[in-house]
Amino acid sequence: MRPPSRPVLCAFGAGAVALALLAARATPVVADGDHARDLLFARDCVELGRCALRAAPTTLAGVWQGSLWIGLVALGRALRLSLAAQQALVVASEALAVALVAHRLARLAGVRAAAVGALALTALLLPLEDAGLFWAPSPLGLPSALAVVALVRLAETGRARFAAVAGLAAGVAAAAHPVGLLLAPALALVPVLAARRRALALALGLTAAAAPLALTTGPALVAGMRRLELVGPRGLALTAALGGALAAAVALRPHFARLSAAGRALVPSLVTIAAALAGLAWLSLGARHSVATYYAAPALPAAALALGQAGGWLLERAPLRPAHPALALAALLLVSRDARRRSTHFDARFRLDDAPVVAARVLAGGARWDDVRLAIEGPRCDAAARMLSVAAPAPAGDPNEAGPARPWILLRLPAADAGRALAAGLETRSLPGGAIAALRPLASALDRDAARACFAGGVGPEGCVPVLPDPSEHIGPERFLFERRDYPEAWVHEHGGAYRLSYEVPLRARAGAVRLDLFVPAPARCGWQVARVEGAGDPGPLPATTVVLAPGDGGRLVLAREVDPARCPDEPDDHLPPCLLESAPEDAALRALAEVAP
Amino acid sequence: VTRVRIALALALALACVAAGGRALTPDAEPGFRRVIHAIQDEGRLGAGARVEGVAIDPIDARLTLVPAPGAAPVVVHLAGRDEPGASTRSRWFALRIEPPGALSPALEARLAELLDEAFPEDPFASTGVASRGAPPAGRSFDRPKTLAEAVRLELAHSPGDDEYVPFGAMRLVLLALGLGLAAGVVAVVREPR
Repeated sequence: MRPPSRPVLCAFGAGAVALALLAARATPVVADGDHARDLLFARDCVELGRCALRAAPTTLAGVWQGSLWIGLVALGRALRLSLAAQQALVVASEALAVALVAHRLARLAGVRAAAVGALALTALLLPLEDAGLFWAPSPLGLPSALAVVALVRLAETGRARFAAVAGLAAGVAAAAHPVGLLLAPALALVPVLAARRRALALALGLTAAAAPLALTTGPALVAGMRRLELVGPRGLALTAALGGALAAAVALRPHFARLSAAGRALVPSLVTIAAALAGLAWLSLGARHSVATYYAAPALPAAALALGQAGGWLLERAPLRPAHPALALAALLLVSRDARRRSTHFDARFRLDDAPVVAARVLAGGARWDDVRLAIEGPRCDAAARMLSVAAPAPAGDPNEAGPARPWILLRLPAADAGRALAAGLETRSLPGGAIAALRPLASALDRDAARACFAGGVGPEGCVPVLPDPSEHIGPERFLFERRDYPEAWVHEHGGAYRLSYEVPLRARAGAVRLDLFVPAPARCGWQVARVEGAGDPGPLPATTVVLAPGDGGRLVLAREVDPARCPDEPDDHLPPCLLESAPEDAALRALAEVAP
Repeated sequence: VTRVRIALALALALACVAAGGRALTPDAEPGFRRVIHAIQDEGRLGAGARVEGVAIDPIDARLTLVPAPGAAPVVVHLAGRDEPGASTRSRWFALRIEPPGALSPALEARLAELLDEAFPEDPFASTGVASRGAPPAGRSFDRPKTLAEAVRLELAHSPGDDEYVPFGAMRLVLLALGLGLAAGVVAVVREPR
């Protein structure tokens, strides 16, 4: 048996180092809204046998997520893989992406280039996203790397079959998350520039890309095209732009052929990087959309290939030989950076692996699966509500028969605070990783089931709607979320200019005074406040984030958020009601515990 | 020759996009309001019939109808008159009922009549560049006027049954894609001897 070649050894080494570094980064999955929703889609797919081909809407109006990621998560659920095991598979796929890039660079430019490229890609992947997230962009690494490496091979050899490989990988990336579409320009241009049989390569690439999209994402694409009105002038402009680019590629073919082998191999990376930069610039400046770091994920392997080629070239000419000390130093820096990331302070957000422990108590205690976000009180009510949504069983009957929501105080605390929690009258439960959940059911002064959401200003319709419309009208997995679409997300996202969003909550009878604290992230110039209190004595100066409701029967509380993009341009479009805590004015111990959370 | 072929293909693609299809414009909205009014307030499809929602996309519209109190909802797809597969055609629309046969032929005919009355003019406009107008400022095709309507329309926009596949089919697709990617990895790593 022949010993493995140097590039193969290089790929194994790079993959192993990347696996170690990326695995060290992984933390338990935080209960974020996006992937809680993905998990619920996956639960529908496995348990109800309905796998949605159009998943959640993205923040870019008219663009929906495809279902590839949901299908993968559903597969993990069906195979009874734990979340940690599924995270490990994602990390392994990222390590394989690093190995692929290292292998190509070792063939192209030698071991030094491979080392630089592999370290660059690992370093780029490490800070890409909150390591506790587990969502649709998570699997982008491998298909993006495979697409670019296949395009590099196409540029080297001119063989059309590599266009098919690149197309399939790019299609998978785009089906996982719409940012994968950033690979499309390179997929169209490189075959025209480099393939011996251009038309065949182009057709193979585009067909292979269309297959995974059509199979897993068809309705999302069709809906997106309709919503974005791509059949018409916009589509014409896009087609014209693509036609112009292809014509330019045809004209540039002779120049491409005259490039050195290394130069030709660099072209796919540069085209991918340029397309990603243009796409992100349009998103930021044209669509005025915030740009998250993970949006660049499809271009990272291309960036690593380009850096590897450049780094290998420089290291060959650098006076210091061998360059291993510099590479080792870079690796150490990566490790230390990673260690620093992991030594962060206590995280009060609930994690998905906390869910079984907490849900066993809260759901058994009478909370129903469609309780609203207001029903969970505490500084991190959002993560707590999502965690419970994912842990709750699928509905078996009419949710209206389950009776009114029963609110809970729910805190995630360090284990050292267990004594203080008990002293404050809370139950405690041990959570994985050494934290505790501190909780107790609440006799709330807020009549959540009668609350109304109101909207004024902007370009959307004005008025109020109940936050609990007939749940039987709800279709799709959002019905399983505590944080449901009852909160009229759709029209808030379409606001323009200044607007006012408020929740009007009737008050129940109160035997004693009730202090109400809102948890508003600082600094929040347009954050939630108590705007008005009716029929509950003198609440103090308003608007405020803390009020005291006098004992009595009835009354009304109005929580409001005045949003003026000119005054608070960077604040999130937070249309859900704020996290809050009800306590007796003298119950300082409970409030002190809640304030432990940042 | 190749350049000529590419130029021809591009010209064909441009022509296809420019020619476009025919789409519902914002002007169709009052017509659908008249349909809802006739069904719910005038009882034209029978007492107790009601419209649960109307989802209007540029290409077609979906009217969710409950023909009688307690009856299962029926989705009426309203595409352009030339759309194949229709069970009934009105002057401007091809009606496709889901589930098929859920409305009696007489009820379908009454609905078609009602659509003729509600839409005196063709609600579809060409999507060609010259004739296609942008929606009025601040309005999209389905922007509601009241909050309650916003929520109802949003619900009506939820995926229909045609947007789901069984888990078994999804597994097969994932398996095929996984095998395809694995073959791709082998192809890019393997070097000619």
